[in-house]
Parts: sequence; C-alpha cells; structure tokens
Amino acid sequence: MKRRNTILFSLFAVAVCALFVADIAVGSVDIPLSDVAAVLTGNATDASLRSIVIDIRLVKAIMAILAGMALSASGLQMQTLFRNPLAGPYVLGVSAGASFGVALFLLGAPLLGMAAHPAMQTLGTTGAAWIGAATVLLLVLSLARRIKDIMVILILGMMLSSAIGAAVEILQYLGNEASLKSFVVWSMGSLGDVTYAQLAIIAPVILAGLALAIVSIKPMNMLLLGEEYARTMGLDIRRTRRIIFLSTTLLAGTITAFCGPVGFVGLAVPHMARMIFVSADHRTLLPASLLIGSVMMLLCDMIAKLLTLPINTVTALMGIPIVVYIVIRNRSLFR
Amino acid sequence: MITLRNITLAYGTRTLATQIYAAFGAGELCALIGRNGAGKSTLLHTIIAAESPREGEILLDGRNAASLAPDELARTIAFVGTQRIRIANLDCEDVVAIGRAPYTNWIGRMQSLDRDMVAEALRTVGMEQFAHRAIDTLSDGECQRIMIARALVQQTPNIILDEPTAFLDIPTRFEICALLSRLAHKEGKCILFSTHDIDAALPVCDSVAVIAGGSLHKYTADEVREQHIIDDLFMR
Repeated sequence: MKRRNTILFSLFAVAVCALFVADIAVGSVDIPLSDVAAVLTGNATDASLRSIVIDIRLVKAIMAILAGMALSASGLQMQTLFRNPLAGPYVLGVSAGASFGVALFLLGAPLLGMAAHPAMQTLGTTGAAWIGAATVLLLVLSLARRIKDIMVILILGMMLSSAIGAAVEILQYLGNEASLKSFVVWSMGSLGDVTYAQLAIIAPVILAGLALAIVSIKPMNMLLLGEEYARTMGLDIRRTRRIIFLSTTLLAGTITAFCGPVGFVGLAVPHMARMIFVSADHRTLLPASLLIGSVMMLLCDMIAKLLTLPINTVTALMGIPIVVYIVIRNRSLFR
Repeated sequence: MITLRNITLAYGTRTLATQIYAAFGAGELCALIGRNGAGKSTLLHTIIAAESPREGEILLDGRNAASLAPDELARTIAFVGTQRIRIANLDCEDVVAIGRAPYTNWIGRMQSLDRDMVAEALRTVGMEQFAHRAIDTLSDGECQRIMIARALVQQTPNIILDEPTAFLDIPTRFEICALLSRLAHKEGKCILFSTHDIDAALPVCDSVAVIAGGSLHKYTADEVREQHIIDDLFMR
C-alpha cells in the first residue's frame, strides 16, 4: 500500500506540472508548448508572447493551483472537524458568508454614500470576505457544539446559506448599476483578474493557511474517532478548533474574495483523495487533496477558457457528478 | 489509582448523587452498576475530566484530575466509550496507533517502539490477525477489542470503560469481561467499567460500585454475591 501511494503521489505531481504548462498554453490564442517552455525558462525573444504568458496566463495558472489547494484543504479540515462527509466551505455557508461580506462592501457601502477609493477596492473586498467567512464559520461552529446531530447542522448550514443569499439579493436589488455590475462579475468567479501585486498578498496568506492545515494533521487523525476519544488521548479540542477555524477562514475566505464563490472543489476533492489513495490518515489525505485539488482546478480553468465560461459553473458541473458518484458508492458514509 | 472525594454529580440542573467517596486501586477491576439515568455515565465522564463535578475533587494517582494538562491526563487515564467507530479505509492497526498520540511528535510519527506496542496491544486483545483489516468491516465485539487495544497503547495506569459489553452477544460479553480481568490482574491496571451485565461482570470483578438513591456504595464482589444487593437494586 505504501509503495502504491508513493507511485500515485509521483503521478499526480507530474500531472500538476504537465497541466500547469498546458493551462498556460490554452486560451484565446493557443501558444505552442515549446514557446511556453521557452518563455518559462527565459529564452523567449518575442515581447508580446512573453507578455501574454507571464502577465496573464502564468498568474492565472498559479492562482488555479493556489485555489485548488486552498479549497481542498479547507474542505478536508471541515469534513473531519464536523465528522461530516458533506461538509465543505460551500455547503456550510462559508462561501455564502464571504459573498455577503463582499456584497455589503461592494453594494451596501455605495448605498450609504461610502464609495471606496479604487485603490481600496481589493483590500476591502478581501477583508469583507474574511470577516463574512469567519462570522458564518463561528456561527456554524457554535451551533455544532450544542447540536450533535450531523443532519441538523447540515440543514442549518443550508438555511444559513439561503438566508444570506436572500440578503445578498436584497442588496443587489437596492444597489446601483455600477456597483451591481462589479458584484455580479465577482460572483461569477474568475481566476484571471488577479495581478502580481495581489498575488503577493494571496500566496503568503494561502501558504499560512496551509501551514496551519499541516499543523492540524495529527489533531485531525485523532478527531477521526470523535471529540470524546480525541480529548481522552490528550487533544486540546478548543485549540484545535481555533487552528482549523483560522486555517479555513484564511484558505476559503481568501480564494472567495479574489475568485468569487467557487463551489464543489472543497467538497469533492477530499473524497477523491480518500478513494484514490484508500486511506483515512491525514498524513496521506492532506498532500493528496492538495495535488488532486490542483489538478482539478487546472482542468476546470482550461475548460472554462476553452468554452469561455465562468469558472464556478465549470467546477460545479465537474464536482457535482463526482459527489453524486461518491454518495451512491459509499452509502455507508451517511449511516 | 482513582480517588473520589466528596463528589456531587449533576446532569443539567438535576442532582444525581451526592457525597461520593470511593477509591479504586491498581490491579482492581470494578463494575459500576445502577439503573438508567442513575449517573453511571456522568460519573465516568467526570472521572476522565470530560465534565467537571458539581462539587468535590478527583485524584488520579494522587494528582487532582482538574489540574492535569490534556497530554498528562492522557498518560494517566484512558477511556473506551459507547460510540461505534465506523471509518472507511482505516486499518485496525492505525486505529490502535492513534492511541499513541500522547507520546508521538507533532505529526504523529510512529517510532519502532510505538509500532511494537501497537502489535503487542493487538495480541493482548486477541486481534493480531485483524491488524490490516479496515475497522468498518469488523463486528461490534471485534471493534470493542480494537478500542480497548487503543486504550492500552496509551500506557495509562487507569482505564475507564462505558458499557463495554453493550450491543454484544452473550459469549462476547464474557470474553470482554475475561479480557478486562486479565488486564487488571495480570497487568495491574486500575479498571472501572459501567455495565448492566451483572452475570458476565460479577465472576471476574474484585468490587462493585452501585449508584442508587442519590449515593454510591462500593462492595466487594463476595458481598454482592452473598447479600442480594442486585436484587434490592433492580427488584424494588
């Protein structure tokens, strides 16, 4: 089993590299792989080619990998913390919370005559998404402590998402045309609107979130047996909850802020990792989820570019069949 | 060694039992009995410091349980609960290995010493041939043995079990009680377990603690056999 997983890890690592290059090659203008390689190794002479590859496509491909890793890691952490196979940033309303924060900032603030300076737009959007995501997580988490029933928590998460969705619609209805457009564009999701300056904020935050996820590997393994057992084996439950909570907010909140609400990656990828790597050990599942998440996001990005679709429609259409398959195949998960 | 000093147990606003004084020593196997809702589970959860007593203190090997850090507590007392553990893709060996958590490093790396202990614990509970079977393919009795093995690798002098014989068929109940007896009498563990299964427990126990009528009384197994205490408890 060990050897099988080592081979699988290598295969997925190679796949990530290959898809990374392919993702740069694919777009409105197809660039031959040899030219992509030339630019990436610094041997290209054509300035416009360099500009397309470096300034547009490379950022997008890096963003795809960061988003795939971040959403998958946060999904894995939530599924373990809530001991719930259907948990994920989208299902539990974390993405909705981030949307609400952004809607309040983009739509609500202009209503009150507090139009943000363009330079503050990005920072405000990110901050609003973080606060929104953190608020919803805190709410779901405090409900989850009082209510032990998995189904009840899921239903509450869905209700919370719907309520937030309604509130966002009210803001959209009241919002003026210009701010409405910027919100709708944001909500359709995109990996491509990120600049290098923004990447300089995103990358460290995502890496910090992933570092916290790595720190929570052992606690998550202990939580497999439930909180009661984890506590009697020496786990500081409150500290663990705080770490996972912070990690998920940084990961899912940041990606939602910059790429819009991207669904089903966080839900589907950890299940794919469990199935492909036949493991429940987070020392395997976390790296596996990061790799599979990267592969899935790069693939979704390429499809989105080829068909010129918003990224979150592609992740939904790819993710939902996977989730349906897993639900049908592992019915025992839900007993 | 577990010492209860003037414990008051409460569930929500309801007081279950007051002025509990009792001591359970190394090598002692004690069955905790009482009717549903009498406070057995609450007492056990209080001893493992999952709940705090309304009043009084619990000493584990002479140290106040409330003052122990989580990892210290985990090296002093282990717990086997009533939850059914059903996790896909998790081998029995890995479940037992999680019990080494209080001793492993930040990422839970297993040294060869840890692996030896896991193998030995599996042998002790008679489950060595199940090491590489997934936990969700086991029967309830097999699963219970695995959870006991997991408690053993925690290497604690004290073990608490909440109804370890519930959901099991009659032969398996006797087997689990015999296993607990071996652990107490051969390995010198202090074991306290709640049960409704007096027939299986009484032959192997050294003592019986009875929660009834708002107080806890401890008897030797011989006293229980001779004095119709069980009849008084359940036939009233």
